[in-house]
Amino acid sequence: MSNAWRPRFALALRLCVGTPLVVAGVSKLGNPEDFLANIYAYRFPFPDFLLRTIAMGIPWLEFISGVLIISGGLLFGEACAWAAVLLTAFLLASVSAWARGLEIGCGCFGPETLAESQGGLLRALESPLGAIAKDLLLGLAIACLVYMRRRSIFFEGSDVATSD
Amino acid sequence: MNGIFRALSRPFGGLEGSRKGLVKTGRFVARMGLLFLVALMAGYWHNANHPMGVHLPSAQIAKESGGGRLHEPPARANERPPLSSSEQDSSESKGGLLTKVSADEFAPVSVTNETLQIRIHDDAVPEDPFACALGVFWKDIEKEVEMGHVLLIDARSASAFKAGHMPHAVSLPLADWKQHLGKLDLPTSKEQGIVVYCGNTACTTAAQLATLLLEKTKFRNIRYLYEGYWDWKVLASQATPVSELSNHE
Repeated sequence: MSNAWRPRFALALRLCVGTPLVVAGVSKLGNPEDFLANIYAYRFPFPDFLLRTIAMGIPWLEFISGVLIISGGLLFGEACAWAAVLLTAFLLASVSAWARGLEIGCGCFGPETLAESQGGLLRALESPLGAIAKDLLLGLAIACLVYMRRRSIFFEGSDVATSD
Repeated sequence: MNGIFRALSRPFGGLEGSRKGLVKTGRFVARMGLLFLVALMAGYWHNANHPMGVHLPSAQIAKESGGGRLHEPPARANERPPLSSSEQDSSESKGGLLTKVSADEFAPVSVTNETLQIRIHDDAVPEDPFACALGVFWKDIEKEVEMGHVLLIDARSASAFKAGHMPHAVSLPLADWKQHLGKLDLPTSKEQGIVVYCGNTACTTAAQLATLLLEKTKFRNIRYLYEGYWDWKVLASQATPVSELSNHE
């Protein structure tokens, strides 16, 4: 890949990672109770207090991380780390639901997507297998982003990276 | 001891390098913690100001004016549970556990979605909340629902109903149940079995709507489902493939 295309590729990659996070965060912010119901459906053996705290914090964490990743500037590394942590948590939750035979939507993009995307791409992404595949792809993209950031090929002609 | 540490830290750039790395990592983790704290505070503020917001259990307990939850059934059928003296006082002064109060009166108190809905709609306040409808488990009505002997009512919002509901269920949101009731194809017999459900075991909407219907309609055989939609979804998906379930809908 030529040097001129690398920053554009990095921008595309940032949009690919950041946009799903922002969309997922905003869709959950619209109806927090339904997101809590989604978490309950996983039947985790955690105390109610913890589940409610997760339901309150995760949508905003997704949203903020997504915005920071897209902007590619301040706290980029931290946002990437949180995105990776969230993806790992979602991945483990999806695998655990799949292993336990729970046929539930992952609730990744809010409750409305289940009904409005019958047979569509979002419907596929909401299924446990789809969620696992999506998380793995996003994880790969985050790894690429972190690598590109460390190699200072984020912005054309800039040497932004490696501040951390 | 120092030698062992030096040997172990050699791959990470020696002792000095590992210390620097440790400090760097510590700062990074601290900034991550800060980010999480900001998100949590934003989430707390957002949920406190959102009508469908999630609240921590302590806040939920604090907002319940008389203590107990409406959907918890009394010890025996239609038996009024004993009140403490303080509850009796508040009950007498305010006219019952659930009373018609203005939005300003309870605005500073953290409330759940269901409580908010039942309080801001004057026509959605049961006259006697202790004459509450009884609960029933899904396993006890499953066959009757399949045979069409029981009418299932979804007490959640119309959008939640649209996103997914139990088979054969009809939507009757608690927030404007009176407007929707006229549009429903209701059974003629007042002894027809009716079961109301909401989102999950923690929600109170179903019990409230069941109590309202019991009070304000001719139907006498109304119950609410202990499990909610999401619980049913898990139970049903374990019993039958999802593809078959969607055919029912």
